[in-house]
Amino acid sequence: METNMKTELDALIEEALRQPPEIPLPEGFTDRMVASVARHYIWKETLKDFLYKCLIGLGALAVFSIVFFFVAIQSPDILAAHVKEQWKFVAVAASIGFFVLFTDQVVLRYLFRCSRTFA
Amino acid sequence: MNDVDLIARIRSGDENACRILVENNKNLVWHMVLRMINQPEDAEDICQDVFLNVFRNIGNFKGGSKLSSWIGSIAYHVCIDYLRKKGKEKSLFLCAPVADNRYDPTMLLPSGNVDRARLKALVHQLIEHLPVSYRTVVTLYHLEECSYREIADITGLPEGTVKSYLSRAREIIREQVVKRVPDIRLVLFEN
Repeated sequence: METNMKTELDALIEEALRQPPEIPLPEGFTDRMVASVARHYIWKETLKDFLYKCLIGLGALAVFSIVFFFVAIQSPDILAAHVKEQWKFVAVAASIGFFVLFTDQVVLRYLFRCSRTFA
Repeated sequence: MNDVDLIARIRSGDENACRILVENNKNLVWHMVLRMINQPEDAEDICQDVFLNVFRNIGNFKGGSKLSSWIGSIAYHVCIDYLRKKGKEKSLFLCAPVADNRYDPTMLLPSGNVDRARLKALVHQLIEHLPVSYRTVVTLYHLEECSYREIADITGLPEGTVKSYLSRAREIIREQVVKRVPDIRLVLFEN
């Protein structure tokens, strides 16, 4: 009897263990998982593109500054004084430029690509 | 489509291949996450983390094990990290105490199926209070029908430990059922 009970109980436990948890997979689970992965990749790719463009822009600016420094100004003091004088203007212009470029090249592009992907 | 083709398509940016991978492994990931963290409200976010990690590291999959085992191991580690962050490391090794609500004799209904159903519900409740490693092993073996080798690949535990966790988990459940249901014979044989 004892052995029978153990066997019967084990069978019942085994049966219960094979049953999935009470909470089923939410509806649209696959779509949401794929969408979250896709969004992550679109964001990463857009940001990477922007960083490459920034690097190219900064590189070009550096080359231009070096050439300008050696060819046009010749004296480092003149350039330093000029930057010191105009630093507020340079900082504001750079911030606005960065903000506009970031919004246009990253945020809007990301939103556009997301809307196209998940349309 | 085999694992190698699927991975090649995912790496080339094929969204449909991503969908196939998620579709093929969603039950494994959902069951593991649900059982391991015991927090249904966080389960979907954790699943998202799991699949993000899978796609981020798909290039590192060397094919030494089944793709599903590799995905399972990512799910296992994401869940362990979650439990650590939540300060639930203890649950990795210890049984959580179950409220000693003994089986209510009024639950005995004329239909034997109902009683067995309630017993199964009790078993499910007991699984939730097993240590995380035990309930992971139990879920993978019984629900996902993984072999000992696959469970070892997923959890990083030796095969012998997997077997002993499995038998210990069943033993704990059996003991607890007998303890909580004094009229177990009645339920098993007379209904």
